[in-house]
Amino acid sequence: MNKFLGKTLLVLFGITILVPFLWMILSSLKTTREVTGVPWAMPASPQFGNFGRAWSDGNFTTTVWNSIIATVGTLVILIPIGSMAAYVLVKYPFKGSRLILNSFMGGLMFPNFLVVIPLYLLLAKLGMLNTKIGLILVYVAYSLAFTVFVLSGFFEQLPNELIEASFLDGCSHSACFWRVMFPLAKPGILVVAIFNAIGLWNEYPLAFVLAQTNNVKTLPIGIAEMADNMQMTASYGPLFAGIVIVMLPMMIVYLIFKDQIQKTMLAGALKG
Amino acid sequence: MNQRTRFIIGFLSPALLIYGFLVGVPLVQSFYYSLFRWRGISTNMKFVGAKNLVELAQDDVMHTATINQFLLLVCGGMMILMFAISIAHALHKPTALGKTVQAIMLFPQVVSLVVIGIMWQFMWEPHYGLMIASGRKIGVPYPPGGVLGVAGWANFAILLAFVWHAIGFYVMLFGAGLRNLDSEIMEACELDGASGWTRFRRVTWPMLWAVKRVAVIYIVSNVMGTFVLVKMMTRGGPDNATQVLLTYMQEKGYEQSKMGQACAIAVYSFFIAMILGALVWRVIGRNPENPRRSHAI
Repeated sequence: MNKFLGKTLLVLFGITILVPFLWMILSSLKTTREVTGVPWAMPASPQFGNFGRAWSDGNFTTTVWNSIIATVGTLVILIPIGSMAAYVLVKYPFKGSRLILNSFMGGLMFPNFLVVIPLYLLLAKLGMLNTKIGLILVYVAYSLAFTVFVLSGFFEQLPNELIEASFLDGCSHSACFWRVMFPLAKPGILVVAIFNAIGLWNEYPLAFVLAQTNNVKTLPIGIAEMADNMQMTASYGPLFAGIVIVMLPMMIVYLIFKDQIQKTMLAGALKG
Repeated sequence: MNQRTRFIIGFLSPALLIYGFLVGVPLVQSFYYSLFRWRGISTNMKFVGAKNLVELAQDDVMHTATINQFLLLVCGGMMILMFAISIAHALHKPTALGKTVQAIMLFPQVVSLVVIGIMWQFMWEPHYGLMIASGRKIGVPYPPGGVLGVAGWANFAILLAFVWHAIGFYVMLFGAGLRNLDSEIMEACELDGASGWTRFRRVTWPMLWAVKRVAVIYIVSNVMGTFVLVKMMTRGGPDNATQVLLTYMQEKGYEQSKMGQACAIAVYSFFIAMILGALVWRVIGRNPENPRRSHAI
């Protein structure tokens, strides 16, 4: 491709992606009157107080805590059972193991939200609607497809000789997994965990239906409600500040783990 | 039962139980519930057979939602494929600019879709929204009622937000595809004098078939999963003009309390997704270099 044309395209593309984010950040430092003025004007003096107001008005202490519990709680269950399943499915092939792996893959393709009504009724029957454990179990279930799929790729690459050697040393099947294979797959598992954490932290549709009350409400639900409320009271500065509080940490996490995250996204895509 | 079998069962069952119980069971239940008329959690379910599906087939909003989904798929898909492949091409030679673009292009993917939706709602705010204010400056004839309040314009705004959100992933995908192309073939092209557009059309594009297939399947699943963007930007309005299948399902189920019909929408969407998936597989599932062998499989 023509060098100049390519460069122009890249610059335009980069600007298109960045401008909405920059506008949010700029607006988060304005007074409400300034927000409703010229959109690209600079604030007369940056309103850092917007962030404090957003935090208290948006009830962020509660929703951030709920989000931490939902995310960490899910990972604590998901990572062990996901890696156990992935390991067995690739290293102990049996009749039907291929089918199970494929059915996890199938789960990757259809939108989770499609089955939300039966899921809602199921949780209601079990008395797990609007509970932390209910939300966590649902998150585990809907993260399993991706987790098993990517982790099976990692375990497949580990040599079988290691398993045999550990048997000779007197390890049982499960000791071999926990003492040898799991630690070896750790770098991959860590990336899958980070990748899942970003998705869980941001998850909205399932939480919207299954976890509406204050004791379970996560950050995305909180920010959506805040957007509704603040539009009614027309306090735009704090609203934009709230949005920045939600988006900035994820951008920073992403920039730190950029290469690994990109690899994981591709691993999920290119083997399918 | 020997030790190996016991180990397999022990290691596999936690994942299978949770997955089966919370993903498998509700999926089957969707089909079952779609045959009843009943409101919410009440036990009063009345068997109506295919009536829900028939009613939906005649429902105007359902038609709009299906058409919107289809337009998102075709227009959004084309835009994504076109932009993604050109940008991936421009990124192929590593430069400082390219590195920066590669880093920022995934920002929309790591930020919550809720935030993306709220952000784009404000971008189109009728008085001070960035898109409106800057568009007016250069003379774009926006309707006075604000873009998100006018059918057609609102659909366009959602399409734009959808493409903006998704594109980085596809650039990355095609970038990986280009890197995997055999460099010997590219050198051979150079020697034969095929370069630029000819090389792209005759060699690169056909050789990317595997990546194109993955991309199209992902686009189908992305489009079928569209919910949050519409919910945040327009709530399906004005007058149901931007409704998609999942937002309509959620509205039927939770705002109108028609759970049976909502499940029927789920069944309907499920079949659309399956048919689209099968179609994609048929049309571009074959390796163009080796059509006969793939046919046999």
